[in-house]
Amino acid sequence: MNSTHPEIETISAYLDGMVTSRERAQVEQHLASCGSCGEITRRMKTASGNLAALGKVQMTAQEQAALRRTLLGATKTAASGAWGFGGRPAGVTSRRWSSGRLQWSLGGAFALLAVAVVGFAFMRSVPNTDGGAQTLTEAMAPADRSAAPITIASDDQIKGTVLALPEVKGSISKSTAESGPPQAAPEAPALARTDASRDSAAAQSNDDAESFATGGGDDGGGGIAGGGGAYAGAATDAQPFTVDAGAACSAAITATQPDSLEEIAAREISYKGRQAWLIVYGVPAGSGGSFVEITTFVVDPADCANLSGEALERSFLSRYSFKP
Amino acid sequence: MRDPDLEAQTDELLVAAFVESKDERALEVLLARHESRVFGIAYRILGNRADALDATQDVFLTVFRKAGSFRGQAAFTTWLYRLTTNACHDIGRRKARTPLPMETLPNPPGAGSGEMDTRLGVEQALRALPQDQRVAIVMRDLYDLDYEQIAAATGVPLGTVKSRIARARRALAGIMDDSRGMEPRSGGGRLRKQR
Repeated sequence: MNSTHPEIETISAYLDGMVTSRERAQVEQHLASCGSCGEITRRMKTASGNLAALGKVQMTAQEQAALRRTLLGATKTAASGAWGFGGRPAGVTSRRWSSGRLQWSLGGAFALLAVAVVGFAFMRSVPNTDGGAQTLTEAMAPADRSAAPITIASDDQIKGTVLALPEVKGSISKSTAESGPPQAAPEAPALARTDASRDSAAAQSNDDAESFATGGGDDGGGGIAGGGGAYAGAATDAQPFTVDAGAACSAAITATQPDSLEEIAAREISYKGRQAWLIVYGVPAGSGGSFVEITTFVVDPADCANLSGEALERSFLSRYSFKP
Repeated sequence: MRDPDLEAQTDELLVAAFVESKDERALEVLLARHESRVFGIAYRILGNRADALDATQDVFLTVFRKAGSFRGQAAFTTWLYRLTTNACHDIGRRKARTPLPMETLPNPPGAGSGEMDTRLGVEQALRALPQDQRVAIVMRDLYDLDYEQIAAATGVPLGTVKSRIARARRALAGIMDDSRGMEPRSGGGRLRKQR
């Protein structure tokens, strides 16, 4: 064995080719005869490779569109010299999602007040397709907000519907996408909601469905801090869809899922005759923007505002996974 | 609408085009060219999409707002990475919470398979790193920045970058400080006498 061990920093830099030729020769000579340093080198190389294998996380098309609308709208304000407070252009506010949840409480109230005051001064200079100040959350709204919701009358339509979404098509274009119904699954019970509670009889076991499950209701004690925007306190039937509700659903579900799942798409749908959100996630293949598995959730918007964690998971109207 | 002429321009010329003629299309090209990279780095540093989106928005707002102060003495990407690092640092500092521990989350589809377990383990180990090490190792191993670029992005000397990357790899590899009877130390890069 050689009389010297290289420093960890030297081994790491050696792996990156960031050593001098003399250092490289010394390290290689040492590694040839030192098992412990050879093992450390191998493990560091493996760690580096495992990290690289995580792949580069991509923005979803929805996120890109939102960012573009918000930022490029802001440039017009910048060009006119009308910037808001704190270096942020009027009309551009930060989405403050905490663990994937929207925080709308006091911060939201102050933000609304600030937007009202600042917006009065700059409303003419902030470009926005809706004619008002636009937050990133607002910009996250689907471009086709006015389009009729997707209708899903039965669970076997979910897979075909999901595969037809442009965002999903783009993600699996190089894989062996197939259309067709998901595996047989129990019919999801409609969750008749009362003002105060859910129909507990709607809850059902999902033990027999590994990749497809329908959820039942749950009284759930959790909730999104500060409420859920337009859906704060919502406990009634037939809530109107809003951008906030969609963002709240997306954020609430994201909070229940590991970060290894990436959101691909979100859509307002009519699910068995009731309003719902369809949120689509994927397990990335590692690189190239494709996905090895897709998971879809169908959820009542009000549940997203009122439930969290396991309670929200139990309230899913449908949860379905498939390999594209 | 895509503009092939603009898309063929360097980053630096696009910045100049915006500053001199307020050509918003130049910013669109810059955004399209770099947004995913900025977002991806921020995501791995901050650990969630929401914060990464906030960071990305902050970075490009700063680019748009301070484009006039960009002199082109360094590469645009160097400035961009510096802004990304700063935005992540600011968001991380502002947030009182820590990321939800992975073990409290439900298993994702595929959990239990070797590949997925490895991915989850790596993500968890990455989150456990000090942020300065996480920034360095993400930029190096995931985004192929060289040591000089990382030093410029983080505003620390080259030796510090080298040390941070090494420490991060040692932690990710689960190598104990005393695995060779050595004490942890940073910098130097010299060969050391065995005790």
